[in-house]
Amino acid sequence: MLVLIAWRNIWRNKVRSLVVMMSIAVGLWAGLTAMSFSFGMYQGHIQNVILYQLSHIQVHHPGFRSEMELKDTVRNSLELQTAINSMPDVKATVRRCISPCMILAASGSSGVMLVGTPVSDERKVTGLDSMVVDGAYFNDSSRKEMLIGSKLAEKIHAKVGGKVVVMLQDANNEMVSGAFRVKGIYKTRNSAYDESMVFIPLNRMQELAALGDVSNELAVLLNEGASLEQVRTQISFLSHGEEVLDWMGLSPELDLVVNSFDLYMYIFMGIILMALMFGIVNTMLMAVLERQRELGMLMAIGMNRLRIFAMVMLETIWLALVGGPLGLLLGHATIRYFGTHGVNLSQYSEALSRYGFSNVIYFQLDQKYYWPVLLMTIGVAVVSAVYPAIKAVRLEPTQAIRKI
Amino acid sequence: MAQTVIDAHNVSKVYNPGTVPVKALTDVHLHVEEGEFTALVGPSGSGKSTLLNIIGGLDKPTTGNVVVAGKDLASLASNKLIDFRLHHIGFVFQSFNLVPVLSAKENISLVMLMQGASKKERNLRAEELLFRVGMSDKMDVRPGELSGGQQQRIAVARAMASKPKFILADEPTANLDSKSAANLLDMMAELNREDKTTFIFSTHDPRVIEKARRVVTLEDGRIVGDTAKTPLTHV
Repeated sequence: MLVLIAWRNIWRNKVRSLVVMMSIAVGLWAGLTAMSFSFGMYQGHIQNVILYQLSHIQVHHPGFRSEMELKDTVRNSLELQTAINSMPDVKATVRRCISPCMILAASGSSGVMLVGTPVSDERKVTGLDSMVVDGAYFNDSSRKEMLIGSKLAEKIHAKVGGKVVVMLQDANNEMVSGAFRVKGIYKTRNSAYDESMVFIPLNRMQELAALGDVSNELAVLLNEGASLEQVRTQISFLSHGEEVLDWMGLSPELDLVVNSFDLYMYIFMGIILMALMFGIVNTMLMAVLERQRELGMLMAIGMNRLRIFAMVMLETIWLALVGGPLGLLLGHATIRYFGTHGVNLSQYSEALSRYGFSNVIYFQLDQKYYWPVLLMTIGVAVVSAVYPAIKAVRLEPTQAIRKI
Repeated sequence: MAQTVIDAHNVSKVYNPGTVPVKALTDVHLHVEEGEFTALVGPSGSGKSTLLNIIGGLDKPTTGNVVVAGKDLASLASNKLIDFRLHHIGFVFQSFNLVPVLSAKENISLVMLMQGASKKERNLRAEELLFRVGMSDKMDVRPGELSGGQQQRIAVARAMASKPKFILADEPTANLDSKSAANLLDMMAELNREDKTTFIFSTHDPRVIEKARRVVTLEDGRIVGDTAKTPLTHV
């Protein structure tokens, strides 16, 4: 019956209880929505990085990533690529030669990363062809043609059809240069990438850098749902001592974002709930002070202090049990809607692309967070109710009954 | 021989003893036996409510002791005292003091619930008591929808629900019109006669005093009169 009394008590002052319930609901909704926006933004960024830049797994010579020297090639990369391609979880692979170089156009220059890539494989792995916004993708790998990013094109004033010269150190540590015609200008969702990566056909790169049919990098794109760790282990086994890293190993800062999200989530919700706590304390204190006479009467007729305490606690828990799920429901609906339709932030595209974020953010939040958030809400409600409940049990029946 | 339910000895109560002392009761002796229908009368401030509060274990005397149903109230710790009240004393308040969110039946059941009675037991007794106080048709009605007289009837039924040794009623008719007050008193007298329920009530209403079979008069915190209209042991 205490549960029933507590439930009915919260409806004695409907407006006040609804305000508290709504503040809990809106607080949770805001927290979940903000976190799903943030998570969606980072997940979008991670997806972009995986799909358009890193792929899921990369294989390198162990010293290549630190030294970036063309001579550090992946051993037997062709055979390894064939073996990896035969794995059922692998969607596509690409072998690349990569070297830092200086690029010069008629009225500008910049330090960039020159990537030699097989034109058809690159298309399958990163879809680079689909990102060409001016000019065209390679159609003949025998030509000395180059794809450059839009940001770099802006910086060095290069145009489609114009000539650029690259200077780099070849495999024999000799400075070499080569002239290429800009075949196309690509644009990804990451302007820093667009400013620093230029692509030429793999055979042109091997020729320019005096390399044989070797490569410095083997990028692997997996099918959806594939086990990243399992494939990475298999490739490690096949590659005999080469460095095999998944995207988290290649980009530890992205891994940090994913792994620390739980912590951010709970800290963020904790702050919101802390603010709500004061509202709940205030409401429950008012509810107790308003009912001093009734509480005194209940003590007089034999309701012990434990029951009085429990009754006040239950009232608060009821408020949280109505407001909490309502907030979760609202949050879930919002996440589902914007998870499907996304939020278009194209007016901030410049700033977003600078950090590699998409213009359209699709909200995302794992439902595993819902229960802990609800439990946190109830926990905060319980903590908030302690002071008013103590106030209630400290009432003296005779004095309380005299209060009007 | 009737059983003693209340034995108050040399009870004095002084409010604000450290600052401005106000003597509410001075050397009060009161002996109440089972089945009495006793009125504590006297003008406002004479100490009626203070005496009822002390007998009911809601307040403590400054000096003296009160033995209720064989138990010295001073020997009971706060929680034990609440439990003692639950099982031995029924209360009826001037302002009814029903729980507004509960129906008439639920208000009565609440006390039995606190005593640990089963749902079946609670329902049966609550319905029986509602019938006894003439409120069977208002079983599911909440106090806000009842008149003052009806609420006080429910309050009496609630006080009886725990099968207490006695019922203390502090000015039970003060907030009622004369007809409702008369009806309530008739009902209380009937319960007293039929169930031998002991009633002690404070009042300064002559209509109430008229119905009482024993009248204890208080003035300035002292008992100045104690008259029995009928032999108490033969109620």
